[in-house]
Amino acid sequence: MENSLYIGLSKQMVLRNHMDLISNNIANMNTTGYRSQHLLFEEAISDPRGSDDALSYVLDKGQYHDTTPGSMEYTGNQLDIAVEGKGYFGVRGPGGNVMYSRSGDMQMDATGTLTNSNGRPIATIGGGNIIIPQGSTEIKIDENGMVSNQNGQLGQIMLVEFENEQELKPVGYNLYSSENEGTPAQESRIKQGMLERSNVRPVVEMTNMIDTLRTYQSLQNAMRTENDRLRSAIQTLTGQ
Amino acid sequence: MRSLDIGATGMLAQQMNVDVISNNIANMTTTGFKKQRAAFQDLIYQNIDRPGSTSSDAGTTVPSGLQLGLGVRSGAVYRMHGQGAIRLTENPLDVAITGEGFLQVDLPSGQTAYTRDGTLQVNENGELVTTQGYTINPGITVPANATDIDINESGEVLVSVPGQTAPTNVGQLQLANFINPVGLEAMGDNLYLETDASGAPTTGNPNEDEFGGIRQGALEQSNVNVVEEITELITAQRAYEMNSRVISTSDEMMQTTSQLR
Repeated sequence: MENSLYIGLSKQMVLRNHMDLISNNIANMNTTGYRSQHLLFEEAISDPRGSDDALSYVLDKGQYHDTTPGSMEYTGNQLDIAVEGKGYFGVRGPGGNVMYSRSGDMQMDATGTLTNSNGRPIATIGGGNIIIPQGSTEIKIDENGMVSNQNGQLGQIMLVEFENEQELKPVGYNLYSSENEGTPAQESRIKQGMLERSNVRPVVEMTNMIDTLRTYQSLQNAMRTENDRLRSAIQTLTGQ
Repeated sequence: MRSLDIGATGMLAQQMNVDVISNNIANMTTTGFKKQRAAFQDLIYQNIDRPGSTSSDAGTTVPSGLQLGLGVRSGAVYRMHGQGAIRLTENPLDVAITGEGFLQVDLPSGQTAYTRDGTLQVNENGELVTTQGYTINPGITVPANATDIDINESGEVLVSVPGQTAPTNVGQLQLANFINPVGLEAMGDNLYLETDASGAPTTGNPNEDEFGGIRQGALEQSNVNVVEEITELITAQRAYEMNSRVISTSDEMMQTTSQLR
């Protein structure tokens, strides 16, 4: 008899997670290379007493990220790169395993190693790091990720594509991890002096947020009505 | 509710964004100023439902899992070293650098600082100094009886002295350049210091190799584009508002919950 209460509750739990996801998207509206995330709902059928009417609860089974490219912004910095196409460039994470990123605000550390904005070395196809020697004057990064200075080539940035981009798991600091290594990029190109902005669409997020709140409230109302109904049933049946 | 904290991280980040933008606008007319940009990163993720966890006895796995991000953090504020517009001043001691390079300045501490601000002056000893009175490196002394100073494109300082027909060469302005000028540390007063991230400076004469030329009687204005800054400011302000809406929405959801009876 309390099923309708629990169904409402299951949706409310999901809505809270949804709200967290939306607020993370809004917070990262200006994060370079960030991709907005969305929740996947699932209907969980339960048939508790073998009755004819199955009950549908709601479950948040997973999430996916929107892979539409964000808008490109021209910065003119030699060490800024943006990826055109669906590729990701490699960043050496803690323990040496490769992580993937699209936020190309690169820097240089004390040894001249090319790193991402968090100080993690940029991964190369050969396996080593890209070291920019003292006295380099102009850094050129071509479409395939080959980094060169005035004296010649220094190393090629690892650029990979994934058949299923949803395999990539966000780990924070603009990085993604993946169990699958990906394949060398065929269609993606690196653009020097550009940065990709986040692909969060504020209108969509705000609408989703309002929708989440109103659904939450209307469920609360439904639960209250159900509660009132139960109470009046008890009152009527007990004759009080 | 996580969304309360997430909204707060978003508001903090946008507040810093507004700080950076307002500094750019405040330095709109500062000679040789280079604009800054705030860069953000997403925070760590919390695994609610691990990707790849088993979802049934048959060994099926959850394809994507549920990972909730915990907001945003400000990663870096970096400088954009694009060329600023050149404004003619007709002052013979004003120099603008057209292209790459920084003038070197001797600080009282003995360190060398780097600047794009070419508002030079002559001190009581006849040395070329910056507006703070710091000598430029390599030092150039203008004779007291000089009637005219001419600085050519390659940075040679030529003075006309009464009684001599040909101008005398009294020194050479040198420029320094960095592999990663973004990594320079700003110390105020239009001066920058070398850091590990900028790399060591390479010095040379103007108009040689990658170095830019010297333009006498002109100053480099800031590279702040006011229209761009104002649009950035609008974006930042709206983003701030949206993050505050996240907080009020979360509050409203909690209020709804507390009214449950």
